Amino acid sequence: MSHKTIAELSADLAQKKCSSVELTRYYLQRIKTLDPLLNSFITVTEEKALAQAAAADERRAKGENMPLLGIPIAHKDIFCTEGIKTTSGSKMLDNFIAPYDATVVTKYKEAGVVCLGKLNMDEFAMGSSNETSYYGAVKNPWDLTRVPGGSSGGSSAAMAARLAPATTGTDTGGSIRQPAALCGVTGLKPTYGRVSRFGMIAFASSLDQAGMLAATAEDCAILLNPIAGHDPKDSTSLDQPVPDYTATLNNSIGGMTIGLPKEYFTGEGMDAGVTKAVEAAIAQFKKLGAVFKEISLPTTDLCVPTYYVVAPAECSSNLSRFDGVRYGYRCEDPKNLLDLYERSRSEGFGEEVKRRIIIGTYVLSAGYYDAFYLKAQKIRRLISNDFEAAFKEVDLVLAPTTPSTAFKLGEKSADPLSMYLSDIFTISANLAGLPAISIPAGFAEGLPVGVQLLAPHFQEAKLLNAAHQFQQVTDFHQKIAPLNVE
Amino acid sequence: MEWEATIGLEVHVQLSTKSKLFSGAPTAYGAEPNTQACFIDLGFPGVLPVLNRDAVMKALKFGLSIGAEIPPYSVFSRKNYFYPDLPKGYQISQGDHPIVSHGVLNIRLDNGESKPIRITRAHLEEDAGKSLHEDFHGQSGIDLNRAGTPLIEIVSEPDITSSAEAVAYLKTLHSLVRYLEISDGNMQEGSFRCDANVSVRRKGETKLGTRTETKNVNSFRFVEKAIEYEISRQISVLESGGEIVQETRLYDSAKNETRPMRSKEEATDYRYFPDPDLLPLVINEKWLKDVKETLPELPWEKQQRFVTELDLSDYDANILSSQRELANYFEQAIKTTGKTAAKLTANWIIGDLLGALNKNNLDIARSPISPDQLAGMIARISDNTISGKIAKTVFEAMWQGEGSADDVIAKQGLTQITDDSAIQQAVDEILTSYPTQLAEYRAGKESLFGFFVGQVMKATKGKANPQQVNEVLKKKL
Amino acid sequence: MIRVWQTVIKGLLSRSCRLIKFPNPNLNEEKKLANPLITENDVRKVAHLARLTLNEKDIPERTKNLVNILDMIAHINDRDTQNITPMSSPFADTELFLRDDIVTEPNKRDAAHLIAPATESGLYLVPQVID
Repeated sequence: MSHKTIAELSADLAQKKCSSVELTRYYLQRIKTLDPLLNSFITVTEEKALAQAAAADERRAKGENMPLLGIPIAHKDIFCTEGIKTTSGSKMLDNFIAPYDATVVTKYKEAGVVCLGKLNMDEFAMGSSNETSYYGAVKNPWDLTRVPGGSSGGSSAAMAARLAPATTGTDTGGSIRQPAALCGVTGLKPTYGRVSRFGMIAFASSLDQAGMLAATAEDCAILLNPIAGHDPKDSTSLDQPVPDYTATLNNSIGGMTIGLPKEYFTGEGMDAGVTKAVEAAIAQFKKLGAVFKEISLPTTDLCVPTYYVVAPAECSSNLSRFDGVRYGYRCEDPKNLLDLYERSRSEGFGEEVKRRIIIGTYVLSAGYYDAFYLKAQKIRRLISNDFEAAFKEVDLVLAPTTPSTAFKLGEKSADPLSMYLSDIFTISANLAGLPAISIPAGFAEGLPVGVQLLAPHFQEAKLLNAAHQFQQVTDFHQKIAPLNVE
Repeated sequence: MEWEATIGLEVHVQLSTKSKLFSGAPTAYGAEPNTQACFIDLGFPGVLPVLNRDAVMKALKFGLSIGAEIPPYSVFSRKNYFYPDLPKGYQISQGDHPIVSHGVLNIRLDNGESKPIRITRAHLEEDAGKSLHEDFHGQSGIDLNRAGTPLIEIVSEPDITSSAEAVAYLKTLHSLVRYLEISDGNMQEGSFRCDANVSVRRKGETKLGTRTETKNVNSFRFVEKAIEYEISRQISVLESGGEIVQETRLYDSAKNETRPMRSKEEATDYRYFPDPDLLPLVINEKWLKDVKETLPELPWEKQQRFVTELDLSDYDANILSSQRELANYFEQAIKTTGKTAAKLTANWIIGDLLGALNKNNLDIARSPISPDQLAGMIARISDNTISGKIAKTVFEAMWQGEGSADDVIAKQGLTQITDDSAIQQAVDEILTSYPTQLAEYRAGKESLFGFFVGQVMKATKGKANPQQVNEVLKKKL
Repeated sequence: MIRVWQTVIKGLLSRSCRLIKFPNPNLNEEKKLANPLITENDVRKVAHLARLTLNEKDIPERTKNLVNILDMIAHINDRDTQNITPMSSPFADTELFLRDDIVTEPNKRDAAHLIAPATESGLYLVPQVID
């Protein structure tokens, strides 16, 4: 059962080959057995899940047949879930029982999805290794001494070990795609504004985007369908038509042009194994009829610096609400108001979060705003313009998702800068607001390698189409981490 | 040494929307603490602001009424600081790109002249909650009902030079927002609040002095007093060789003084930046046109019309147009009495009615005499049913709730005597009753004429038409 | 200082990150930023603005860390951006969605206060606020 995709499970449910309750029990059991190795869940909602599954089965019995009805998934703990602890991976919210659902959660509920629980993540989504979580590091199912990537590290690890047939994630600088790549699963970051951010605990509001990690591009399409679209609770969710993303999966990609940004392919600094896998993926796409073309994204070198102005600036303000007054962590016996603020925040936030708040506060402060924040916004425009020009020539852009495979736990955690620089290939899509997908493209020394496709705004269908076609002729996405419990 | 003051005012006007600026929570005043603060107002994790269209309309109405510039787009920014009444740790406001900029409000000075006060900008922002200082075991209580209530902050150029001008400006502004129906203007409830930036300099000096900002002045009288206090405080500091510290001060109305605010001691760096949760607000021509069509007749337009169409004096027209409710009262009344009686109606409203209201501490909306009642009385004066003098009795009776003018006149038999023969008879009787005075008058003591008028009026219980009495007396004497 | 930065970066760039070729630094004279970009005192000041307390003994290390990061960030000043409109959001040119003025949020004080650290008489409690 664990090898099955959502498409297949959905068919099984429709044909009554299994019930949602059975399916849910199966995954709950897997979580119970395997998650102690991974630490990918913060909260497992067994009772609620079984109740939702029973309700889904009843609806199926009454003749309802929506593709996700009765399918269990797990949510990144950044999505508020009513009545369920929602921590964003932080001590600050260790006691926070959200009184409402995020729109993504609501939409999945409406689609009949069963929620298995809440997934571990880097604290407030700040990190690329899932080591900043208050709930401890998550381990990569392919090699338990390595990181699963981050910030959606719980999502990618749980997915890779098939503790759920799909997981939700969020992507601010690569937080879906990078862990998807490092764990050998498919991860989609939709266009900025394609999916509502309401109820998703904000890191950097102009970059954050909800998406999913799944076994296949087809599953991503099935999962994107119910959550895409304008939400009147999110002013930045755009009112653009929502196609059926599954409808175009089987289109031929013959003649599709794919750009290769020369700045991404200098060969320097990339793992040989990653380069090899990416080259093989290019060859595979060529076989499918895609035409490759070299393009230039001249502002590539400034993506990381720009991101590390914009994201911390926004986070420094977004995280001001955590002050120990209305919810969340409050220090013991505050002496006065300042003490309440300073100790609640200093004790409630972890190191990386504090570091980013300080950077963000600094770049917005008087005297530095122009040289940092404003300047970064201008560079951001240049980065966006680069893509706009490129997409006049090509349909999609292909790039590695990460420069290397999963690194060792602890390898970069003492060195924030090297951690930041590992996001180089994923950050540009967030700055420009583009949709992007990471798909399994092979293995290097036994560790998964991902390749990334980027598309113009709102062209998720094209991304998913190309990824699906690739997955029709490759089997990397079918490999499951060989986890064994003694 | 001669000093002059420079004053700039920042007025926060709560917009009278049903729901908050960025959430669907209600805005009604006086609810139980924290019952009108939804998760958005409370700054819960993951929630997002969605802008209230009506608040934008109201801000635009204000902008258009002062002939201001409405830029094609405006931007919401975050003003970052920590305070318990500010749940998100930032206030959503507007920084470099306000919705309204460069308008003018003309104020009327005591000498009847008008003075233009430039308005730098007006921007949309959300209100904060309230800290309650009653002692909760040494702690403060926070009520966030007000958090997120829409405000426009209206910032004037430092064109104001005295506390009297400041009050005139505030009254004009207050009247305007009530005319526009964008705010209830209730100062007790904090719907109309003012901060005053005050500086002084020696006459002739071109550079402005260091200014202080005085907060928490929530009545016209307190504004006047706070500014006066601040001006004299600054002058005495400077005259004794001291320096003015740029600071935020709090007005204490009980002590009638201003003092530095402790919470604002450190200079704050607000780190404004565009709110990434909100896209820029685009105002197109069509929208502006639609809002323009909803603009009511403005106070100064009404004032003009009262002068040109109704022939009122500038002074009367100004008083009657100064408050929307008062103007409505007047216009309702002259609907019945007609334009020809406009002046008479104006006199009755400004004189007797406002006098009585003042004395009883009532505002026009709670006048015991309705505009129709007053109009009914004016009509009886105009058609000579009663004299102006009798009208005072009628007015008094109406005030006491004795019904319409006609009811009062009928009940008390106050109809004026206009029958010539009746008046002649009354005059004859008086002349026979006072032969001595008659002789004196005829001998040349003309000042006794008034005496005879008085006696006739007294004999007729004031009901005789005074003009006719005059005429008949003149003939008979 | 730029040279220092390059050495720092070179050292920091692990095998994985060497492919970024940073441009030749040509910091515009008038935009020359302070050197170092952040001092220990700045760190204290910024931490206070953000209402964070830092362990005094960690400050030197923290500052060094931040200097490295800010040096990397400061490279955005190498690129000429004259006449470039700042981009605050991917769709900053899109019309803002507005909501009708309708009350949609019922009173949920009980739910909110259930998870509040300190409340009394319907109010949130904090240490005495001083105006």
